[in-house]
Amino acid sequence: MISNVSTFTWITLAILIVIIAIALKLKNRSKKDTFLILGLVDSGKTSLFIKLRDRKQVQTHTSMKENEGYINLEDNGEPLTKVPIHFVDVPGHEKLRFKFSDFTPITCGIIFLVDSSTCAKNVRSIAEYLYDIFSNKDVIKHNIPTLIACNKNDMITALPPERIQTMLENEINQLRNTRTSALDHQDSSGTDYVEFLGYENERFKFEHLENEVNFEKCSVDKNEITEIKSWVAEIYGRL
Amino acid sequence: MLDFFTILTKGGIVLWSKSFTRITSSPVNSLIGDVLIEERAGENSYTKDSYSLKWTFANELDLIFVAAYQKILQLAYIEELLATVKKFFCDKFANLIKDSGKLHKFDFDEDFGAILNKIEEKDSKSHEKLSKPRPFEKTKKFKETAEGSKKLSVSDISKPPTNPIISEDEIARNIEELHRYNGKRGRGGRKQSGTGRPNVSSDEKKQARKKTMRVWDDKVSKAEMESLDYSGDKGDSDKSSSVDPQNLVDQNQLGQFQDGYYEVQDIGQDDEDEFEEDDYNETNDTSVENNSGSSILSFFKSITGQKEITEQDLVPVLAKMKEHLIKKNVAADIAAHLCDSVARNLVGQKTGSFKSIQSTVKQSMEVSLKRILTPKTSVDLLRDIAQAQSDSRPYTICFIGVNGVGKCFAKGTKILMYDGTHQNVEELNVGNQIMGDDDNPRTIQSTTKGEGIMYRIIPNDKGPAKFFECNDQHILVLKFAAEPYMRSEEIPIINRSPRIRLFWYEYDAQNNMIVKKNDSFYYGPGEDYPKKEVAKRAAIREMARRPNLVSSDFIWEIPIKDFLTASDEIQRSCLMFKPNQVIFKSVQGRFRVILSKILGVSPTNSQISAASWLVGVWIGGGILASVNNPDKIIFVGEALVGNEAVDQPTKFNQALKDFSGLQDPRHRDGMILTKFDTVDDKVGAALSMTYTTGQRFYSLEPVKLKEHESRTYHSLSS
Repeated sequence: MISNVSTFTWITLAILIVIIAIALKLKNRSKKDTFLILGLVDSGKTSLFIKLRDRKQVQTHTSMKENEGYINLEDNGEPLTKVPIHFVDVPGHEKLRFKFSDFTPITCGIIFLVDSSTCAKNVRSIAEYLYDIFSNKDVIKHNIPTLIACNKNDMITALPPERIQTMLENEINQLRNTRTSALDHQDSSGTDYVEFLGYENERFKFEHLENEVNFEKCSVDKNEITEIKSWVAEIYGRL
Repeated sequence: MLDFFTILTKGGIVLWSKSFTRITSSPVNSLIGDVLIEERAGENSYTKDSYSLKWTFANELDLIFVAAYQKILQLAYIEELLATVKKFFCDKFANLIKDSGKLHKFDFDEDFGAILNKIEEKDSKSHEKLSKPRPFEKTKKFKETAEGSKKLSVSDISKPPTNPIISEDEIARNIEELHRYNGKRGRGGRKQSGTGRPNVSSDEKKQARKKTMRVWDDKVSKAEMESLDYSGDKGDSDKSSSVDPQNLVDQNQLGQFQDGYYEVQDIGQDDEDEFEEDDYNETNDTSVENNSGSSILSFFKSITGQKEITEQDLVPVLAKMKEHLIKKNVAADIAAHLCDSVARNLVGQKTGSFKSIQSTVKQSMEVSLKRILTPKTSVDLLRDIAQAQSDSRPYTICFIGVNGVGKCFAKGTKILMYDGTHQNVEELNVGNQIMGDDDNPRTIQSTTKGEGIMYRIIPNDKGPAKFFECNDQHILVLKFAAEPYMRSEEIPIINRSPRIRLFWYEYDAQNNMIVKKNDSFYYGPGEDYPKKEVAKRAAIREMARRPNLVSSDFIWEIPIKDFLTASDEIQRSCLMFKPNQVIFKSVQGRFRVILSKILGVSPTNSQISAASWLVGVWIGGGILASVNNPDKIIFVGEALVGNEAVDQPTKFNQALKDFSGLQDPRHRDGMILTKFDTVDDKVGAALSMTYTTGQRFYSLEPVKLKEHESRTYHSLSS
């Protein structure tokens, strides 16, 4: 009798534990299912968001607020993922960008849009924004993969992604020295230091980062966004 | 004639638009970037390129309505058009808009056309009627007479006072009066009459005002000069003010003396809930008064958060917010603008669940503060400097600001001493020797601390350097240009022979002054010298013999205040000394042009010697971009100022524009706020300056955004 009771309780305990473990795993999975769309002003984020969601071209202006929604990714009518994916388009204006850090705890992938035609002029701002993203605590902790999509590829003055990659690497190379030499913040708690990206004695390259960084070209206007969609599907499938 | 009309979401998606002509550039993007995100949404209109834009929000649906027309026109009906379209659009398409998960087609063309026609008709009709002149009772002049002021109506009082410069004493007095009338009718209603009072009796109060306002005229009279000289000890008796300053200082907030150091009181963790509870009860009372019928229902609504915020609800909360901002040293009209902007963003929105109006307003204010204080462009100076270095040019920073803010040499600046060591500037004393630019020692004659009049030194040689500014103890290094010369006068004088007159300049070491001397050599029969040539030779011999003769290689170092006591002729004969010491490498392009202007000759090789102090002059006070083109012009202000925080940066900007002589003058690139450690939690000056200029500041120790706003905020909730 006694052994029956004890085995019975052991079995129920074991089942309970298994159930709890599965529940937690599921919870964690759904906790991080967001893809962020970031980038400078005028890089095409809101247009991309609408393209993904409604497959339509729409006129947009500078966003004051973020756009978010659950989107069913599909390619030519075929769905790429089983469940809708949560996308958030954070405004690129300098004063509103910081909001992206509100979403990073639940982010599983970042799409960073770059305007290939004006990239040369803005390389410093792009590099600074990228630096901020890669130094973000959550991005480092969870090694959030990033896709740098070089948008507006259909323009004549657009640079190829390899060129853009080299330009950004040079710029970040310089930036990491100046950023880490900045004075301490007024209430520096010691743990709040700026990350030094990459390896110290070598020139910065994106492959030195722990998280995965890919470069792709795309054009939201001409609907050439399949690379972005397949990347998202792949990252989501890994979860 | 309207050029275009757009309806878009706050997320940037255009729901409907109509343009009557081709649109150039992108004015809506500029509007959003420059005005709406900058929290200047309280303003009326915005001009960019050739367009004038007006807008309105529909906050509960997250929509923006924008109308644009040619800026040379003045269309009065735009605001009415915006309001009508907003109401119509929101009513007709409310459901579609709320379903924001999909794109919808909004069939609004005809309706818009109808509304536009109707409003345009109404407007043209009102132009046809000849407007009668207003009766005298309605004019402003009447209101300012004794009769009129007795009959002030409520609507007048509710407008903010038109007196642009409100001294801090006056604000203190207003706050006092407000506190005296507390409690009876609740804070909302009485407050407005309180702020209206200075309008009527400001004339009397002007005499009693103790603190003299800063005078911004270009000319300074002697009396004003003395009153602006704060460097000495001047006993200031402040007895005639009616408000006892002791009462205004909360004794509990003062720090304590410990071990001989004055420790500032820590910013306590004030109980935020306490604040909310107090105010919550008050506004609850007022709302109970107003709608006694549905009071219980609205009470529950405001708790559970379905209550829609109206202007009435916001008024008392914002008034209190404004008072707090002012108390924390934010300039008065900026506090008003901010509250306006927050109000515009909140009207019509529903409070979140279980949140009172106070906390919604507070949240919104926090977001606004954060937005204003976020730097727009990166202030990575090190990166800029690295860039300049790789281009082989010096990176110049120009500091400008009013007296006493701390521009000259800040505490801790290292100065190179003659013996090769470095010392902090505040440790230097009279008599120390610092390294001069020609490897000779310079003995410190005096040190300056405090405030005083600044002088602008304009070298009168036709050379390149324009002018610089310094205080009256600054030592000028001058070269004497009028060489000792001789003049022969052949004027026939009755009973006197012709003569040769010799002028020379002698240096009086004791007084550090150059004096002019002369002597006459008479020649002719019966005089010392028979002939003119003999007299001339004698004169030359005499000149060579003089001790302390001032010649062309004489360098005169004299402080400005002493220089001004020399005779006019001597003053006019002095030139700025131009030593050559520093070598600049690879001079090309723009830099070459600047250098050749300064040196007077075009540098021919890639290495030039140029004055070592030139670098210092460029980093001097207030020099203009047209000559030196500094990379950054930084305005230095102190964190202690209140309403002046608005004046100072704007006036300096104006001066930069007026005196630069350029088509597209440089403006200030950044601001440094000094003495931040003295302000404790009254950090409002930073907010005022940032808001006015639309520019960012980044103190040398970067103030973390959250902390700064939480400082302001904490004190707001205290």
